[in-house]
Amino acid sequence: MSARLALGLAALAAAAAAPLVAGQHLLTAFIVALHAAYMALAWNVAAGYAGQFSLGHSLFYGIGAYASTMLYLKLGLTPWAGMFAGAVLAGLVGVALALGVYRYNVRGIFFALVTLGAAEVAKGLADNWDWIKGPVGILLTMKNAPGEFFFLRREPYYYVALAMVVAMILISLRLERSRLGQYFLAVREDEAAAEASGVDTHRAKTVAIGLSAALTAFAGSFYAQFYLYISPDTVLVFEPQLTMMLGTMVGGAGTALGPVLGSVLFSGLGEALRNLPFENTRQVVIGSKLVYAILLIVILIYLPGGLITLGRRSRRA
Amino acid sequence: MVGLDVVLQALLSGLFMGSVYALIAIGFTLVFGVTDIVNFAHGHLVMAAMFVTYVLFKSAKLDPYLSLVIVLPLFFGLGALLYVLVIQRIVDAPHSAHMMVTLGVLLLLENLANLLFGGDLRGVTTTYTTSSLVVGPVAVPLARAGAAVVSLLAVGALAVFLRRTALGKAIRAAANNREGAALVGVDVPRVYLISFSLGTMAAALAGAVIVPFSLVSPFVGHEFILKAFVIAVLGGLGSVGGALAGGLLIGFVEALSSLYISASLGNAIVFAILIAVLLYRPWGIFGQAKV
Repeated sequence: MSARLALGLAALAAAAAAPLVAGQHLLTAFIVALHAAYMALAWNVAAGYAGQFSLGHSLFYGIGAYASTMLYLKLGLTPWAGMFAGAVLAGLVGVALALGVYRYNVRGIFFALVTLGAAEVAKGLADNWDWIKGPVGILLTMKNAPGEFFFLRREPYYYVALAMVVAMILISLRLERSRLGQYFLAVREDEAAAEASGVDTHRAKTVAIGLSAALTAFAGSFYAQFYLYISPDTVLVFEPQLTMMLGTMVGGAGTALGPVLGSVLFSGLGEALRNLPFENTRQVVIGSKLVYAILLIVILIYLPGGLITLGRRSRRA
Repeated sequence: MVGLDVVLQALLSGLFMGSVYALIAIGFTLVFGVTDIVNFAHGHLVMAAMFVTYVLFKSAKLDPYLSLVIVLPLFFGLGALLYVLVIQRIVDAPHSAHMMVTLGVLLLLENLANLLFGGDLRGVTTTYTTSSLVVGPVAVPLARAGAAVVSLLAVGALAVFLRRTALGKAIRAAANNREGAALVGVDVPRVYLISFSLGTMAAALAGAVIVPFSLVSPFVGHEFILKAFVIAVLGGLGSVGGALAGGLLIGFVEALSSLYISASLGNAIVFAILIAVLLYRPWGIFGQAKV
């Protein structure tokens, strides 16, 4: 334990010191990687630990982005508080969705399709909802107001993103050791057996979706404050969902560090490449995505548990 | 108020596009029914065939219908290659792995197309692209009518193949009960390979025949796969007849909703229907509950 704790603290110290050496471009890549890692960990709560493979988490991401932004623009509520309101709202929507879905015993691939459909419905509604400016989206003005979650420099965003990831890792580790986490695993491994041994599986799955949804919403709020522009085409599309899935499945679903590993590798490196001064930046970025697609296929075929299992295997050997 | 002739015109275009959607969805549902794999890359296979057809037209002046002679065997082979290299290795993995790996194939095709052709929308103009035949109050666009006729013929041919031929019966047997089929001598791995290749070929056929009147970009696959999901679920995942009915239904819903309400809201309605069907009748609107 102490060795792992020391390693963790060393990694944290290195991460905290990164802005001292990184330029603004590289820092942006770090922020993108941390943001992706946070989202992946949030999705991992439902998909990795509880085995509820949702394809509709963009819905919760979008709720977070729109909730904090609308509360700020209409009521003047600071997004620091608004993001918690967004999390509560997303959690409630997640619970409502889960209650409906599990009541009809929708599972596996059907569950994935229902959640995907829910996100598509939400996008269609958002596109036609004038109060949130429909497909045009909402632009936030850049300003220097730390109390309202606006910073002129990258460093504060980096530390917020880092804090979110650290908190999310701690939540994941705590979950792994908790009774609730054991219920999640029981549901994932064998739902009928879990039910037979007295686990309220419907309740466990509903809590997993609700918790995961609420945690995902924080990422949406962060996106809005960092990019200062949200629209149905940026936060309610499949893109955020894809980011969560890639990081989690490549790194290792159902672990606290796998999604971080996968996200840093996939999202962080891609963003870093985008900012390097190549002759043909476009080709390099697309080419790197091509390589990622092949990597994704190869990793999932030969390392179905994700990259994190490499370390485990060598330790055992 | 919308006039009757406009409604008729919309219904006709719904019938045409619905037929093409049905063909796409049948390829998707055949693969799922037999191999239990949800192929997220199916819509991108349509896109890939559109680009191949486009290139054949631009470089060799080959008409999209003539190019089928090249496109169909090419994509049957591509499907087989994809199956042997990738899909075969995950057939027994959980659904989540199916989804992620086929998503990987989707990203591979999309980025390959983007690298080769760029992200712009491209189209071809054939001699019949804008031709139409006036019949009573409606104009029948020839290119779309041709695509619909070919799609329906292909669906019919596939249905006959599955019902009448020994191989078709083997495919249905494997879809129904893999172990049972293997016990009575069906070469299940071969049946899987052929089903996946046939599904890919169906996607390619649909892609080729819509080229005369559709624009292609690396990103058009997303719309096709979402439609295939909805149609396959409406018809009951794995059911060929259901997918035909579901395809026509979605064609009509799409055409009418673009008349009466906005397209983006129409999409939301289609997915709301999908959710309702998945909750209440997961075996599809037209199918029977499997006990």
